[in-house]
Amino acid sequence: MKLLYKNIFLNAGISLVIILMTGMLTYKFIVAKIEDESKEHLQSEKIAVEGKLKNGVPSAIIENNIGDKIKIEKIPALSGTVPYFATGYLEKEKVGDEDDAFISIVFECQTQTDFYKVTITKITDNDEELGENIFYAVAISAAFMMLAILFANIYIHRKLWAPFYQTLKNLQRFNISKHDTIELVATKTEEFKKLNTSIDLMAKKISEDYFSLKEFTENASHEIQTPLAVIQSKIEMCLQDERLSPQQAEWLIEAGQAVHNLVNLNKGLITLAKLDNNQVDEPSYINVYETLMERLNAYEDFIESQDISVELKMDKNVFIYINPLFASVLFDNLIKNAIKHNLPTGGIIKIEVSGQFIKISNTGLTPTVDTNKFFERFYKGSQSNSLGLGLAIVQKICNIYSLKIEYTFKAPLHVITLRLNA
Amino acid sequence: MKKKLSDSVSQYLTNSGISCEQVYTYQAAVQKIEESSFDGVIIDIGLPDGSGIDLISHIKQKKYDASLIIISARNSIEDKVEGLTTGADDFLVKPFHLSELNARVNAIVRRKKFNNKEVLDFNELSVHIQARTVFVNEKKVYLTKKEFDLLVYFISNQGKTITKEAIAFSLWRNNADLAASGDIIYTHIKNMRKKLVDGGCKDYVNAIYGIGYKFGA
Repeated sequence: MKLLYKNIFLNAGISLVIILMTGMLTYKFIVAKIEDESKEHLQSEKIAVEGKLKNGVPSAIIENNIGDKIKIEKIPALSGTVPYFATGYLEKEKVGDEDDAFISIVFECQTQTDFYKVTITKITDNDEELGENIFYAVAISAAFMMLAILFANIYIHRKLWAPFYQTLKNLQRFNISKHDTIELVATKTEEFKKLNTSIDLMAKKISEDYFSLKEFTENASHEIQTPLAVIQSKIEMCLQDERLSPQQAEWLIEAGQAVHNLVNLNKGLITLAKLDNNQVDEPSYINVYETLMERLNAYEDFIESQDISVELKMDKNVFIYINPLFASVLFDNLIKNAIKHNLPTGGIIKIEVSGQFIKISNTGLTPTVDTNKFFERFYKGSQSNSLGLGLAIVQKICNIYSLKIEYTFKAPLHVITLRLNA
Repeated sequence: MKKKLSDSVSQYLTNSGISCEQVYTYQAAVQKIEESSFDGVIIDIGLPDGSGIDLISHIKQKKYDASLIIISARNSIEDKVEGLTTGADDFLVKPFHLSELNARVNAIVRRKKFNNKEVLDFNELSVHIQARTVFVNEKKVYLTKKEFDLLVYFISNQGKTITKEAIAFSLWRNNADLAASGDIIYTHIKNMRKKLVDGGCKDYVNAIYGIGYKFGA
């Protein structure tokens, strides 16, 4: 969720709660105030009624009364009840009428001759209307408040966070392998200033480390070649010696094979380093059919030698946008893989190409190892003479050109699928 | 380290009948080339006091008639292209098989000397490089492309023990490891031998168990 939306939601949420609470509190206060006023009013009326009772006739009081409803009952004696207030609802007079809320004061009163119980009732129905009005007022102000919060937030957000978003944009554009520097915008906000200086420092450090490591790796891999060449040449010189015993020759051959493995390993690592560093020339549109056929021809000898039957189902007009050299490496590795891990004789290689995918399947032994790790560096299957870099290279190339690669095994076929629209 | 490599190369080539002289710096190389004439020069790109590429430019500028082979630690296309456009005749990446270097030296020297009409003779065998044809006692024997290359490689390295890996590299370059693991080399050699023997040629291919092959009488 965007920062702006989070901000708006939080602000709006908190404001809404506060508004509702203030609305409710206001209502409660006003209602309490009105009740107090009513009680005061009733108290003063009580005093008036008491005065009038002592001077005159109760019926006259009732008749002359134009305000609140007064009920006067004659009682035989004072019960000693303290004056109290009562609240409640009046019975409906007509169906459909709303109940009228009331508050009344009940008290006993003594004249020279008689005892009376007096109830003065005040209709408090106006309170409800008041409540409704308060509710509308609160609701309207809440709505305005929300709108205000929305616009204020958008405005403030844009203004305050502008340097942050600029920095973010620049960071996203930053490509370490292209000798980029991160452009930083001038800002007066303390935090963003700090953020920018930290990013600047970090980027410079990363850049430095990256290039020194790259240089080191490249130099190291190439420097290794000369000693390897010396070892290999000396082994070859030894093999020319007539006095060599078969046992010694065997040892030399084994040493030679180890050198050979090192050479291949080094070659693979150099390729991976190149890919890692994005040392990629401009890509172009490559015809998959043509490239695959060309690569397949290079392996004709091996396909023939292992008596592999090749089944092709290719759309000739599929193009992928990729560096031509890497396209060759990619297909090379996949085809080589399909041959290497195929049955010793009489296997099948199936190649399917469509606008959506490139599928290369081969017969082979059921995998006994974790197939999820096939694309990891140095992961070797049961075949120990492979180095485990081929598929890692394939994976790397796929990542660069956002092709999705999958491995599945549907007996007896190992299937590698490249999805073109990933 | 490079001196040791130079020693191996020099010894191997000398044993194959090519006389060699070694120098280890750019300056010494320039001097050596001025002093005497050579059929070929093998140049390591990384010289202690200069670049092998510059040495090639120098040789080409002075119009010396020597074939040039570059040896490089780098296997990048850029280096290869640069070397070959400067005027090198061949390019070999470290580490290489001495038998491979020997075959290539033989090839470029032959190419220069015979102006592409060279014939490689070995007893009753005669191999026409340009036409890619093989004759046994003047009778034509039909070999496949790979078998032909194999025969030329064998004759170039006659009398030498050649490993399976070296043969694999010579015939399949980038796919050498695929070849070294299977019996594809064996199959090709077997077919070539059979065709030659059927054509009346003596069998010159000696298999050395566990190591490789040796071509010779």
